[in-house]
This record gives sequence, C-alpha cells and structure tokens, in this order.
Amino acid sequence: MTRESAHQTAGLNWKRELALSLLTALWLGLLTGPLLVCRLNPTDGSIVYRWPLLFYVAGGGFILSSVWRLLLARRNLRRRRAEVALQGPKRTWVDLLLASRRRCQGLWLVMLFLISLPFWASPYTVNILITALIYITLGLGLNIVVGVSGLLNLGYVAFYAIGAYTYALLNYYFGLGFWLCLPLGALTATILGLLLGFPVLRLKGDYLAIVTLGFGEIVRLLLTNMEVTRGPRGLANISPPGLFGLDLNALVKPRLLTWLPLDPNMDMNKVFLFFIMLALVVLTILAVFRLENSRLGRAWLALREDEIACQAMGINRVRAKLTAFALGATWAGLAGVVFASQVTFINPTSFTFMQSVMILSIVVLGGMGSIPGVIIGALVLILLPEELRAFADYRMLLFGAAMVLMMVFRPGGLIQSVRQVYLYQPAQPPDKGQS
Amino acid sequence: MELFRDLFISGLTKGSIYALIALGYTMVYGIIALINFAHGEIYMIGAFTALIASVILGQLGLAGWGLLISAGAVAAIYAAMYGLTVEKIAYKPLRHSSRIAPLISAIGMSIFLQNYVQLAQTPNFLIFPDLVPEIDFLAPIAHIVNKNQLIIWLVTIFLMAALTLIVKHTRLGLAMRAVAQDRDMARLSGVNIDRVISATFVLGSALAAVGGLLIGCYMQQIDFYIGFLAGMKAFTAAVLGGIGSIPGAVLGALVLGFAESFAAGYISSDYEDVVAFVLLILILIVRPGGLLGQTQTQKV
Amino acid sequence: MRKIGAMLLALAVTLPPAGLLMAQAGQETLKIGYGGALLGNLASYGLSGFYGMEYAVLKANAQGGLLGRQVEIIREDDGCDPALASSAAAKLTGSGVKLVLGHTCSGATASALSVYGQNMLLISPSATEISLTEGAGNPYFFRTIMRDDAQADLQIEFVKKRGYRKVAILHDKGDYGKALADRAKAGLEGSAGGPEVVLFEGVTTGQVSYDAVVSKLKNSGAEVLLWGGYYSDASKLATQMRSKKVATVIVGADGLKNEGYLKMAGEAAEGTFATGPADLSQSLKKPVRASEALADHQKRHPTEEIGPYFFYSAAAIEALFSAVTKAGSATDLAAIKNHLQNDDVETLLGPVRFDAKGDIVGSQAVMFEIKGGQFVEVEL
Repeated sequence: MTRESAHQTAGLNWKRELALSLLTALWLGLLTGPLLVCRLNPTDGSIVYRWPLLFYVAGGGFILSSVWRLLLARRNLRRRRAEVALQGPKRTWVDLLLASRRRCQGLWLVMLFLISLPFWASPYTVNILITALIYITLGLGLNIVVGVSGLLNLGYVAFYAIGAYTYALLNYYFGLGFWLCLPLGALTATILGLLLGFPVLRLKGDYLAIVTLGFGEIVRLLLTNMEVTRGPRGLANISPPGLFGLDLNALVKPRLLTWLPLDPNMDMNKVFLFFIMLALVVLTILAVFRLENSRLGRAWLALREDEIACQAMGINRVRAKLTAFALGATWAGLAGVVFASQVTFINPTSFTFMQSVMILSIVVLGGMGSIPGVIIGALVLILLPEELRAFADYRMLLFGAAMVLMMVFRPGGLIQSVRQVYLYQPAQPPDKGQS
Repeated sequence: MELFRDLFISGLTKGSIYALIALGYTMVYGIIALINFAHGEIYMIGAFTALIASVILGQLGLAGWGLLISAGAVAAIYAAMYGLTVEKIAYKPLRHSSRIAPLISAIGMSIFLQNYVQLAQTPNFLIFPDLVPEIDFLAPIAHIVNKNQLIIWLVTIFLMAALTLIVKHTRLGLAMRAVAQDRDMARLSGVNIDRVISATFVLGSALAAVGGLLIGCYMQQIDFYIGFLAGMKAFTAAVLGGIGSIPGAVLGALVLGFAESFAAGYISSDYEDVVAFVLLILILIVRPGGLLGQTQTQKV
Repeated sequence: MRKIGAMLLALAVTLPPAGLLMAQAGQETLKIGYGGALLGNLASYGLSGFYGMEYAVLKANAQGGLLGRQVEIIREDDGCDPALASSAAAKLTGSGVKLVLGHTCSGATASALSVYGQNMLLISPSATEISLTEGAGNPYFFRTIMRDDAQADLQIEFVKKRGYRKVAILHDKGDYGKALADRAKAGLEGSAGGPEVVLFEGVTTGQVSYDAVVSKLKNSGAEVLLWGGYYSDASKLATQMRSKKVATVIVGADGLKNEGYLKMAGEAAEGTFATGPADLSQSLKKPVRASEALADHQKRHPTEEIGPYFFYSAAAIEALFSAVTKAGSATDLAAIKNHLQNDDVETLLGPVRFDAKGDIVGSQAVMFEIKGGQFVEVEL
C-alpha cells in the first residue's frame, strides 16, 4: 500500500478512528454484558458473575474494531477505484493460476495425488475426503440451479435425502445392491425435481426460496413420520458397494500392507468408495461443464440475468426452469446414494435445513456459476470445520463468523465467474482517404 | 366443540407469538429486501436477557407487574442493540452487493449468535419463572384461557397498534414507507437511509424480544435453540401474508397458527408442520405475492 | 480445466490431518476417546456423558492412572448426527485410541460402529436402541444403559396392573423416544382385550407451544400418557396439562427420570411416574459415592448439571478400567471383552457386568413415582 493510499484509507484523522474504536469497544462490552458476564446456573437459577470476560471483550473489541474498519476502508477504496477505472472484478492470483497454460499438467498431478492418497493417509483423511467429494457433487448440482439459473433453492437437501433413502429402503427391504440403486436413486431424485418445478414456475426470488425451503422440510418430515422409512430410528446396515461380491478387506489388504505404508485400520471398502466417488466427481465436472456451454446452459444463464428478456428472445422459460430443477436434483440423488453407503446408517436428522444452507453456502462462497469455485468452496466448507475441531467448542462459532467475513470481504465468492465483458473503446482515427 | 374451542385458543396464542416475530422479518424485508435469518436468534436473545434481567431485578426487590414490564423493557432494549449491531456488521457492508450475499451473511450471523449464547450461557435448558402475576377474574375459566395466553394476546394487539401508529402517523414511519417504496428517491428527498434502516431493525428486534419473554413465561423453559424453529415458522408466516406488508405478516401469522393448531388437533401432531408448509405452497401458487402482497408488475 | 487452485488447496488442507497420523510417537499418556454431542441442541445430553467420564478418569488418574499411565481423553463432537459421527469415529480411530465412550444418540452410535468395526471398543452410557446389541455386527460394543424394551415392557405391565383402559402414547420423534413409543404401542396392541391406545403421535419439540396436542389429549379421554422422550419436553407437557386441568397420569422412562424434570415441572411434577434402573436409585440413597461424585463435579463445573447420563458413563469407565487392568493391556480387545463379561465390577451403579450381547446385566427396570418432590420407588 503506498503512502498516499494509506492516508486515504485510514483518513488523516487517527484520533477519530481511535475514538470510534474505543466507542465500539464500549458498545460491545455493554452489549455482551448480560449474556457473557451473568451466567445463569441451570440447576438453581442463580447468576454467576464473570467480570473478567468483560475486559476481554472490551479489549478484543477495540482491536477487532480497528482492524475491521481498516479492512473495510481498504475494500471500499478498492471498489471505488475499480469502478472509476471501468474494470471488472480484479483478477487475483487464483484466477491467473487457473488460466495458465500449465493447468493440464496441474490437473494430472492432482489426480495422481488423490489416487495415491488412500495408500498412505489415515482412515480419517479418506473418510473426510469422501465427504468432501460428495459435497462437491452436491455443490455442482446446486450450482446449476442457483449459480447458473439464478433460482434460489433452499430445500436442495430434499433431493439428497431422496437419493439416500431410495438406496437405503431398497437395500433394507429388498436387498438390492449399490450399483443397481445408483441410477435408481438419481432417477427418483430427478422425478422429484420435476415435481418441485411445476408449482414454483410462477414464483420469483424470495418466494421461490421459501417454497423450496418448505419443500425440503416437507420431505424431511414425511421421512420422519412414515412407518415405511422407520422414521427417526433410521435404516441401518446399508451395504457398501461391492466388487463382484469380493471381500476386499480379506483379499486386498494383506498384500497392500506389505508393499505400501497403508494404515492397518483402513477399511478397503471405504477406499473402494473413495475411488468410485472420485470417478463420479470427474464425470460430474465434465457433465456440468458441457451442460453450461450448451444451448441449455446458455438458456439458464439468460434466465438468471433477466427472465423477461429471456422470454422475449424466444427461450422456453418453462422448459429451462424445469430442466434446471430436474438436472440439479439428479446429482443430489447420486450423491445421496453414495452418502448412504458411506455412513451405512441414515435417519432424517442428516437432512435438515442446515444442510441445505451448507450446500448453498458452498455455491455462494465458492463463486456462483463457477465450477472451480464450487469445488474449492466445498473443500473449504467441509474441511474447515474439521480443521477447526482443534478449537473444539468454538468450532461452530468461528464457522459462523467466517461465513460473515467471507461475504463482507468477498461477496462474489472465492473464484468469481468472470463473464465476458465488452468494453467500449473509442474508434481509432480513420486512415487517410476514409471517413 | 370443546376441542374446537381449545384449538382455536391455542391457534390464536401461537399466531400471536409468530406475529411478533414475523413483523421483524417483514419490516426488514420491506426496507432492504433481505431475509434476516438472524432474527430468530434475536428472539432467543430477548428471552435470555429477560430471564437474566428478571433474576437481577427480582433481587433488587421488584415483583409482579413491575417485574414483568421492566424485564420486558430491558429485553427489548438489549435485543434492539443486538439487532443494530448485527445490521452494522453483517448487512450494511453488503448493501450494494448481490441479493444472495447478505443472505449467506445472515445465515452465518445466525449460526454465530446461536453458538455464542450456547457457549456464554449453557447448552442446558433453563427454567424460566412465570412472571405473569395471577389474574383473579380469570380464575374460573383458567383451564380454558389461562393468564399467560391472555397476556400474549393483549400485548400482541397493543404492540401491533403501536407499530401501526408509528408507521402511519410519525415522521419515522413516513420515512420507513418511503425507503421501502423507493430507496433512491427517499435519499434524494433528504431521508437519512442509515437511520431509517437502523430504526427498522430496532423496532423489529424489540418486538421479537417481547415475544421471547412471553413465551418464556408461558412454557417456563428456554434454551439456546428456540430461535431456530420459531424463526422459521415466523418467516413462513410473513411470506404467507405477503412479505413486506405489515398487516400481511399479522394475517399470515394468525393463519399459520390456526392451521397448525387445527391440523394437530384434527389430523395429527405428526403432520402439523407438513400442513403448514403445504398450506404455504398452495397459497403461493394461487397468489404468488402472498395473501396481502402486491404482485409487482415488472417493467422492462 | 482449471483445477490447480483446487490442487493447492487440497494439498494444504489434507496434509495436516495426514501429518497428524505420521507424527504418532510413543506417548506417555494412555488415550481414550469420547464421541458424542458436544455442540448443537442435544449437547446437554452429550456433555452429561462426558462429565461422568471426566469424573471417573480424573479419579483414576489421581489413584495412579491406568496400567501405570495417566489417562487422556480425546473428545470429538458428533452433534448426534450420523454423518458427523462417522467422521468423528474416523478421527478417533486415527488418533491412536482403541477404547471409546459414546456416542450419545442411538443413530450416531450405529453410524460410528460401522467405522469402528472390529478395531475399536465402544461403550455407551446412553444409546438405547435395541438393534445395537442384536445381530453379529458389533463384537466390541457395550452399554451401561438399559435397552428400550426393558423399560417399555415395564410401562406396559404398570398400565395393565393399575387397570388403565385408555392409553395415550406420545413421543418426540427422536430415535430414543420413538423406539420406546413403538415398543410400548406394539406391546399394548398385542394383548387382546387389553388397554386401548387412543392416541399415538409424535410431537415436534422446540416449538412455540404444546397447547394443541394437550387439547387433543384431553379430548381423547386418555387416563394415562406414556411419554417417549426427554425431561425437557415432558416438563412442558406436564405444566400445560396441569394448567388445562387435564388429569392424565404421565409415565416416562429414564429420559424423564431426572432432577431437571422436578425443577422444571415444579408442582406439575407431582404424581408423574417414570421407569429407571434400580441400582442407580439405591446408590443415590447410599449417599457416599454418588454425592462424592456430585461434589467433585460441582467443583469443576459449578454451573453445569450432571444430566441424565453422568452415572452411567462414570460406571462404564470404572468397569472398563477394571477390565483393562485385569487384562493387562489397553489394546487387546478380546481380553478386555472377556473380563467385562465375566467379572463383576463395583461401580457407581452398583455391581456391573455385561452379557454376551454387550448389554449390562442385572440392571432391572423399576417404577418410580414423584411424591413430595422426589423420585420414590414404588410397586407396580
């Protein structure tokens, strides 16, 4: 930051800033006073006073407020400059990295790394990565609905649940296997997506949001209440995917243990699942990428930008919306089937509104409409709470704060999808002899 | 017939509480087109603050109606402060961003507040004393309408009337309506947008806090999670009635309260939430703007 | 395609957990794990189990530790969510732990067990679902809490013996509550000419008011209400029932039988019945050990209740440590299992032993009634 910009951001008036920070600290102290200091005792309703906390809050508040104000000023300055200079969103090092010519080699490196992972990492890492891959699939699916088509869906978890329960129910009652249920789960989710699409055709923006939220809740409540799904007691002992009926742990593991630094606790079924999920994610990325660049994809983009213009241009709005919902649901269904086989026990508590919120956050935080953004968003959002386990009790608190901070400082997401921008430039002076 | 009467009363009570919270949602939405997910948590914070205030004030010697009203006032003030702070931190910086960024920010704030109270206080359930004093003339019919229910209705009516008064007959109300209608024109007309938005949050939060206090007295129990379900239901109610419309929020809340009550009574408690959401979807299909909402014609 | 950024980020976030595994050197402390709800709306139950474990572990450490080493608790939150439980279980597996106490909820326990498999020993103070100890899948799973059927059967017997004809059954739609309710319903409907189930419904917990279901209860004319769920919701039901002058008798299970119920329901608690294990009540009457545990806990956490599972989890740890000491190893699961099943260990719950399926032996369900603000054991 140059000297002049430093002056511009902080303002020449240090005293004013300090005074404001002090006021903020006082305000925060007053605000959090009752709840932090006066701790209620659940057993007898008395109050335990913890005055030292007040000083921590005031002190911390002062520091945080100064930092906050500084960062905010810098952000606003950056924006003003960008506006004036007629630039689009600034291309950061991530954007440049992604556009580099070496990206194919980079891609191969990543794949090799991931394929080798189960053979030296811990079962925990593999488990977490399977979850992350599932959420990548979910994020990409929701990206079609929210990111590309601009249809705010707050009940996406319903399709996820349908996929998982399809497999769980078929497995529990009829003993059907993973491979058969994978397409079936996707199919039921797609049908449900279509069913959701019909009533919401006329709704706009936030009304669409609340209806989809209601839909998600309805599905969860039906799953809780219906006898056939065993409600909250859930369905257990869901079979993991099989490879021609072979017992992977008995056959493959001993050989691998001698040659590779394999963790003895590793379950080979989970490793198999990991590879399946990896393949699925690659397929999903390819599919979504092709979809976005097709006629349908462009119809979706048009839908997001301006529905009326879209219709005026002759795009069938109904078809675009329905396909968006249906296709978006398909991937949730697939992810659901894999999820059921990963945790081998499902009940409705895994499919709450908070889950929809998480998936939506992945799409928004990663960058709406951008595939690499969603992938990174999923990785960050899944791995972050796990990393934060170190903070134990404060995990979710920090997570909430992180969400707010992300939005304030980078509302376009980690990797903003940079659309083609056409700038008007004054024409070159004509050649001699032409006017 | 008895069942109908009981269910009607319970529906009215539920609807009143939903109304107090829904008003906050609808006012904020009308002004800045944001679904304030953190609003349910403000309701919860109001309940907690009321409990703490009641213990401290009780020790200072207050009792009866005085204790109830002062606890309510303290809760309302603190909730208003929280609402203000949340707005300044999470929503104000995003006022010129896309529509979805403040939504995510609101959700993050909601998670933050929930965990903040859980950690600062306790994850256990807390006993909430029934601060509403005995109402003698109600004694004979206390098993039909009890004093808490009556107080909830009266307070809700009173606050709604007060709010309507503010919105229709004060300068602040005029400013709020102006900003809701057309923000830029309002600014050009000299309205201080920041103040108006802050005032909206203050009013909405105070209402929610009173709701929290009343529910605490009624259920005699609170915990850090109550904001979640109540918030979602109230939000549904606001949308049902037409989000952005104050009478709509109240109507929607009452409709929702009655629907849930009768569904639980005549169909099954299992499905009362399902009924609520199905009702919402049906109403929105028929009237996409909600019951009292204006279907806005889009100009191109 | 552009995945370089993804690659870098993936590297950055996966290496630390992988690195954790690599860096396991010889430890001085003996690590045991705790998996349960430490965050989220069921946290009070998870913390209850943790506090019991903490008490027992600290006591053991003060007396020289286990196998000569100090015991360290590695705790992981699962929020009672099966998916998180699976991840928490995987984390514990990779932390050098072989013995785990948890998980809080039956669903989460089932999910965690699929991760633990044959490699870890899990002992639960609170998971009551019957299927957890049925079937061959879980050789190293034990629990100090009774299964759902024990309590539901006792409730049914109570209803029949007291001559009630109309029974209402409500539950909280949770895995514990619904299992109890289902079992009770099946038992009542199975007996021809027996009591009639006039109402069977799930109540949404955490909602604004329970008026509607209470009105429905009144309308159904039920004489007795079997409640499948926890004390917090039961107390709300009780107070609202009293204020509406609904005279139905409430019968709950161990989820209701809790000091918290007495405080929250206040006057309305009088006359409520609840099933619970006999040993526990007796040790509460023998003041020394239980009150010593309580006092110890109060010193550490002055504002936290012990909750419903404190004694179960403390007893679980005591039994486990005894078995480990006798087996001479903290990793030989078969030997530990042998001792758990064959030796009686004196714990806070009384003498504890486990049967072939992993359930606690000799823990009889008894009926209690709230008389004069206390839980008193009564005859059926």
